Amino acid sequence: MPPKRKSSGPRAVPTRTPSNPQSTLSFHGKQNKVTKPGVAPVTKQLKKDPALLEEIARTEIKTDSTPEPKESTTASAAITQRSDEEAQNLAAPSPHPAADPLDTLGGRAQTSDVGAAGGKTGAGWLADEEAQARSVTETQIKQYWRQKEAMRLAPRVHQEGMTVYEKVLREWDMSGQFGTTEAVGEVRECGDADENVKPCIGIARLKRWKRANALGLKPPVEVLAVLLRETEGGNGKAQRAYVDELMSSRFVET
Amino acid sequence: MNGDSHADLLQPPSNIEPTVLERTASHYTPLPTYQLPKGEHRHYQQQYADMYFARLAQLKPAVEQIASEAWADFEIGGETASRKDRVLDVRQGELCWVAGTVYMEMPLKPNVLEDIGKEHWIAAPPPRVKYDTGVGLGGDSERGAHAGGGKGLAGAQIMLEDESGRLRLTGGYLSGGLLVTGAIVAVMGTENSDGDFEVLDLRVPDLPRQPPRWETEDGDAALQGKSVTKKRPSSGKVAIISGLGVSGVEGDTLLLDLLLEYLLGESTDPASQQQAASISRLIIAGNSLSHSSPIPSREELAAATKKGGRKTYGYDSASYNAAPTDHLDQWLATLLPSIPITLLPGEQDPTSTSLPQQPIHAAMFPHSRAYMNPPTAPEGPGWFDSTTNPAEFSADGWRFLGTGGQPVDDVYKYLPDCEERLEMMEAMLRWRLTAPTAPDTLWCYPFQDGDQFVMKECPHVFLVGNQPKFETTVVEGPLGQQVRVLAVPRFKETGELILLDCETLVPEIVRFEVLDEG
Repeated sequence: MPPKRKSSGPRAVPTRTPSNPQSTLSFHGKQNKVTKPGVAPVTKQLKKDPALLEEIARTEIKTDSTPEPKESTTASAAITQRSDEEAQNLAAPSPHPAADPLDTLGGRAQTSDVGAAGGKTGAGWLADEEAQARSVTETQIKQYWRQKEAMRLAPRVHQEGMTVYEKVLREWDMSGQFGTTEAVGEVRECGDADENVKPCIGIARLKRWKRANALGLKPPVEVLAVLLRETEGGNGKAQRAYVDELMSSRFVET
Repeated sequence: MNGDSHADLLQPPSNIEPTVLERTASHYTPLPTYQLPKGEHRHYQQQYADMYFARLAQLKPAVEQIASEAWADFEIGGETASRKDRVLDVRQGELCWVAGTVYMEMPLKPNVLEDIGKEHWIAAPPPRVKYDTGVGLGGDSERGAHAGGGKGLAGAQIMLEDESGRLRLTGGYLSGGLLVTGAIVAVMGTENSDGDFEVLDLRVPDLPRQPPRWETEDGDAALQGKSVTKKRPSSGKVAIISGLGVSGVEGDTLLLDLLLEYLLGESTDPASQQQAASISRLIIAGNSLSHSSPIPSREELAAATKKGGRKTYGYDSASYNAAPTDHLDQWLATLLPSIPITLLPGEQDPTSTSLPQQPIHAAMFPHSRAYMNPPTAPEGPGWFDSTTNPAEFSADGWRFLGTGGQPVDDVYKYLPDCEERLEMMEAMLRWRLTAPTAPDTLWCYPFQDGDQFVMKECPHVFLVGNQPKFETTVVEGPLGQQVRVLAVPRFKETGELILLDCETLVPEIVRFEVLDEG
């Protein structure tokens, strides 16, 4: 108990600071700070809702124009590695007719009708598809695309800014995902069956074409022509399906 | 008689040189069907959907051809069966047929989400013998493999699946045949009012084309431009064994030593030695070591963490026991100078756990390594072939397809009432799938370009290791194919060695027994 002071008088309101000029010890206040000056003081601002604080609401979040993650995921790395292998195979075709053992399944398939490993000629081709694809002209590709458009009732929306190549490749990705648009029993106008070549995620487009070819599903040679032109044009991004990039995107909506 | 054969041994010393028996030569061509690419070329990013899609695309033409031949003129009530492209195109009341992949929904199948949830709370359940709960209620009128599921009771649900969707199958017909997840079949029937497809008939792809004998060797020679030798020497026998179970802990390895002496021609009388000299190759079909799988079982893991020791992943180098592999290596190295060996890994061997299991590395065999060729040698594996599981090779002209037993054991778990392993092996041949339940309940590599487990050509001999007892039969195909199916018993338990005559493909057994004195 502190000693009674004569100066306090009738204690109506107990106060802490007496009128006594004798200085008291105090451990608070700016003069008697014990902490080092470098430490930031704890502010009371955080107790408030940050959404209401003006500073944070006004902060500009820098958005990248092309939101690509800096380090690619292992899946995309695997696909780019395999598409690079394909590009190399295209550049230097194997000299002898024995199948390339490294390419598809790591094994030489015996003579078979429906085979999935590399066919008779090297690098996964069954016959001269590569030569056929290179001989496909631009007009042929445009014709093919016009046929595709004619099969639909209405033109495609949201595809105005894309080149024909890009449209062909996206159609290739999606082929097989939807069923036949005509009713059951109608004859299909387009000769080749575009179905059953999916899935398109997790595999490079060229490999998917080769696989469909090896399994006997007759993928259109115009798509192969577009793919070859894109790879030789140095556009490596064309090897990966667009939905693949979307599905494996690491950006979550805020 | 025995007395005459022993006369050679019991005689006074003489200058006559005894005849030295020569072992029959073995013609061997291994096929790299199940070898995976090495190192960074092996990718695991893809999904298993690619594998199912490729399997369906590869087998659908074959099964549809058989189905259309069978049902082209099938009529019920004046209605013919029409073919549907997609599984979901079937219409109610319309007789039609469709092909797709079978998927079985079973109550006790391992479910990874349940496993993760239960891991922390209860002890590991004992490994399931069968995935199904067993016979459904009131299954007296139906016998067969799917008695419970066929009636749609608490049991398996069988569905047909393709790229468009799934269709549940019902009907009494299903209980008659064997079905597991992953088999490609064509079913004919109609959709009933519940939305289920009632099956009236079922077709499978059946056996593929069988190459004639010596086709692999002749085909190779023709490719290289050499002249094809028409005359081949008569072949001997092939010895097949499985489940040696070398554990390094037990002291009683007398059975292995007896087998060793028999194969080397050191024991028994000259007549049996003559027989042993005709054995040209030894095939070891899995489980040579007793528990050397690199992934510890749940009990082992629980024991390791419970002890409070250091948490080591994989094996603990302080407690690694090299005795089993050392023992196996010495045993093989004693046999190898005399007989070529093909070694398939099994479930408990120190190699990859997912099918196709890659060959046991040469580093495990410091002594037997001398008989192996380096991996990149152009002439192939050589005298001692450590090969994959499943393995396909051509021995003495016949095409062999061997597995270590895991696919058949997994198929066994799917069939609640069936104990006939030979029926399962025959079904696997007719489905043209070496491992039908991969990747559903059997771990496997995610093939992207094609399902490697689809049999492209029919083997002459289909051998499966690690089975409970020896069984054999001949499976016949629609085009005259004949396959000898062999269920190889575990040597550690039964002591049986199979000798397969390579001229007639008829097996016989040699049994080794150790008689207890007490």
